[in-house]
Amino acid sequence: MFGQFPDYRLIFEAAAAAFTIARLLHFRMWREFPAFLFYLLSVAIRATLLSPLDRASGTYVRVYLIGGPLVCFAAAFSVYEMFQLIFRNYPGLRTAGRWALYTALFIALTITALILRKPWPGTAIDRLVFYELVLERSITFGLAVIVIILMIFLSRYPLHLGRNTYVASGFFSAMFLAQAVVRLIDTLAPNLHAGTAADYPEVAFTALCLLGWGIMLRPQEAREPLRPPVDERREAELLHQLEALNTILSRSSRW
Amino acid sequence: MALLSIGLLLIIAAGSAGLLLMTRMRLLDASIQSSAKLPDGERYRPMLRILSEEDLRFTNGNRLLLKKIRTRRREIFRGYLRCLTKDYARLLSGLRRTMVQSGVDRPDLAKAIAKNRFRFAVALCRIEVHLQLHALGIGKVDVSGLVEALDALRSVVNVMTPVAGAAY
Repeated sequence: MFGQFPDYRLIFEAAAAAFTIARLLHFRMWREFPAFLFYLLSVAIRATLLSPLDRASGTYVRVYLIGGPLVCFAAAFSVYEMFQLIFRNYPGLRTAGRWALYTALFIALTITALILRKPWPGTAIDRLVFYELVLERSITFGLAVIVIILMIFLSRYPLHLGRNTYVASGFFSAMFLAQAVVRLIDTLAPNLHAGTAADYPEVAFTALCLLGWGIMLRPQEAREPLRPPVDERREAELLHQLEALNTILSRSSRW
Repeated sequence: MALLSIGLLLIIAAGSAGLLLMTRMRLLDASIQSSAKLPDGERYRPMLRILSEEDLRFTNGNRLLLKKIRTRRREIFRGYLRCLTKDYARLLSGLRRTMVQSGVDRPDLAKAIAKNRFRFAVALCRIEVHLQLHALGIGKVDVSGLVEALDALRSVVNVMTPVAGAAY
């Protein structure tokens, strides 16, 4: 059941997650980011449990099959939490943000569907592992696309995003994309699965991201956005001007 | 294979850093644009006649001269289009600032902006196609409708108020 030597890469990943948890607790931010804390805990626990096990053992496969989806769903909740905090401060953007989210989901689902293929030949366990890899790949890729598209969407608006939000979006997108790419490689080349070529660099990359994240975390500054009184006349004028500019363009294109 | 994986991961890391930088710069730009002065409608008046064929009679059928003048005028027209696009972006920024400052969800503004942007993009594409056809000597420019639309814009711009202060 146990390998000859513990997997030091997984130990490094667990240590990096634990470091970030410590920083989160130190800055007393666990109440504001409970989903993020849960995500870090799930990563740390899974890596800790897997590190002493032999990769060929049944226990390793079971822990991997249970831990993988758990970490993915924790990741999804922490991304949801991040954007929920943003839209709580800027309620005027909720509908527009929802449309951006639907666009991101559509793109992610389309690409995921296009790269689907039939499972590897092999035992029932092999097929379970394949489906788990596809699930992880789909969720992490979808989350990466959501983070990227929502950040691009939010960058059009004159709003203030806290430093921790930037840090989170950068590391989330990097980690999830890396995991999605490696899972894609694993599903396309079964001889590489549980091998060193793609998985080990990905574990090290994730650990470095978590470490960097922990280092860059800062105490959350409380900043309430200013809300001047609603100027409906101003809004109507701006909309009217937009319509007028559009009319100019439309008329000039009707030659 | 390991090198390829490491290379891919490095590309992903660089891409994420680039994305962060880009969003930061766009946020700054959005703040600056939304507090900039709104456009003066008069600046588009030269667009009305710049592609007109009426004042090209002086060329007396000199095809080379005609071609040169039309090419230059198309360049100038494109310059005006760029200004129009920037002014449009400033107007959009004003509306986006309103959405940011709102204490309630604004699906009405979101819908209006989305529709307007789509129409603007379609109109720009159509203009580009017509400019290419104009370069081939196909098609004629009728700017009579443009005069009416510009007058409508002028009347709106005359009652404009400056943009309010920063949101934060």
